[in-house]
Amino acid sequence: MNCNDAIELLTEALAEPLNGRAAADLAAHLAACDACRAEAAAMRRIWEELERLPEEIPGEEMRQRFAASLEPYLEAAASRGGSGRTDGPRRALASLGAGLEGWLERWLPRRPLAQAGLAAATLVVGLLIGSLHGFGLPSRLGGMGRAGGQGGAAGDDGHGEIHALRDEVRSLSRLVTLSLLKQDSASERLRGVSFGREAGPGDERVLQALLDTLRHDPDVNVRLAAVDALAPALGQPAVRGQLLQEVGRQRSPMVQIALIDLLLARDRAGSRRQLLDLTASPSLDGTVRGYLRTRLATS
Amino acid sequence: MVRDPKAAASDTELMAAVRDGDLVQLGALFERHHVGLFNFFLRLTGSRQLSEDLVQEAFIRILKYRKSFHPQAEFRPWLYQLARNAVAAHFRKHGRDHLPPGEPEERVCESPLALDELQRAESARLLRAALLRLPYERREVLLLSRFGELRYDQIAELLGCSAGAVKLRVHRAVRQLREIFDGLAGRT
Repeated sequence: MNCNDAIELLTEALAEPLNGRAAADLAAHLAACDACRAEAAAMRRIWEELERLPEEIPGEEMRQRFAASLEPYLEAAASRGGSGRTDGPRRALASLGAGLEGWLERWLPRRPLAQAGLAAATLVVGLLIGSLHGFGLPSRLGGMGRAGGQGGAAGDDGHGEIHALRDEVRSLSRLVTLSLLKQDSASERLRGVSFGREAGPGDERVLQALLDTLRHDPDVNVRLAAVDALAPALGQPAVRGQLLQEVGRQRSPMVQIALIDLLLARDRAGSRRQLLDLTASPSLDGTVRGYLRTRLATS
Repeated sequence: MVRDPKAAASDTELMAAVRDGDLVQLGALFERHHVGLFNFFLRLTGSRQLSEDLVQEAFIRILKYRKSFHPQAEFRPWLYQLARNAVAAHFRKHGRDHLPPGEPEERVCESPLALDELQRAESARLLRAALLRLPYERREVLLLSRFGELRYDQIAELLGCSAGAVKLRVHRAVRQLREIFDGLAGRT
């Protein structure tokens, strides 16, 4: 094997495992050739640097734009007498994207700050109108609808309106959350996490955005806030699974320790086994491992 | 409830369903691939806004050209073919002059970082900048091989050359990236 052959195999080995014969030939060449050995080390180093490059998360409005762009195709398929395959919950999701958020998207397609501002302003106006009409705060809306003393059809209408208003408030809260979470400013993203926490554990998209924030946000304080905001959703197995994964995946010991505290405080029985396994992981930070062992021994 | 990503059909099965008219399955493909595709475009162009537009365009192309997908084929090479076409169409229309000249757009972290986090963030910043200073063709082949999860023979098919030529281009790209990166980091 000459050096050119070795370089080709080195390059191949970066992306694909070599077969036994090729691997052995390459190893023999590298053992005898200082230049190729140095080249191999240098190539591996830059390849691993690329591996460590953090993944960037696109703005949430991209998903909304996609949903809006899909809608005409779905409508066309339906109008051609297509099957019921375009109906059902997934269709509803697509329609949601083309609804309120899609409308905002078309008006303000590339101005997330303006979107967030408009949404927040609308939320405040909505709450103001609600309070002027005696509806009270959103958390009380359902109860007032049931016990508001409005009988018959008028009572039913009021109940429906209240539900519609509550849905609208939730939708706007979600929009504000998702818009804030993709801002450049860490303080804005922190506000987004706070909004997300208020949205509660029942909003799947907010929950997913909080998990994405925990996984990818470059700011440790934002990630810490996301841990707190996700606490109410710990009862959901998928969320718990992802939080457990993050204990080993996070690079900040502070975030790792916050996750350990949360999991042991709220879900000791469910998380203990996996956290115990994690103490044997060689990639776990030494400080975090020591802390985890102490917590497992004392809890 | 958050979706369980493991409980799902393969990409090829989903795309075959889209091809046969079940368009809502494109939503599942979008969820799986839009972040990866966004990062491919971002590392290729350095522009977040353009990358978001290109992801949108790529998925529109999937819809438009869904009939050209063969159910026996792998989805990922086909996706990246459409992605490359979307970039090429953009460059034909707008040229490349508006792209950031070697400095990627990035989010600014306001709070103080620990020293090791600071070093990692700086290293990532320099590597992104180095990537953008690679000649476009080398950058593209490097990104396809490193992040596209494509085999060399699949990249060769995309680029219309031999697998051997792809390996040579990747090696040259890695070597040049290393030189630029070390230069930016003050190691040379």
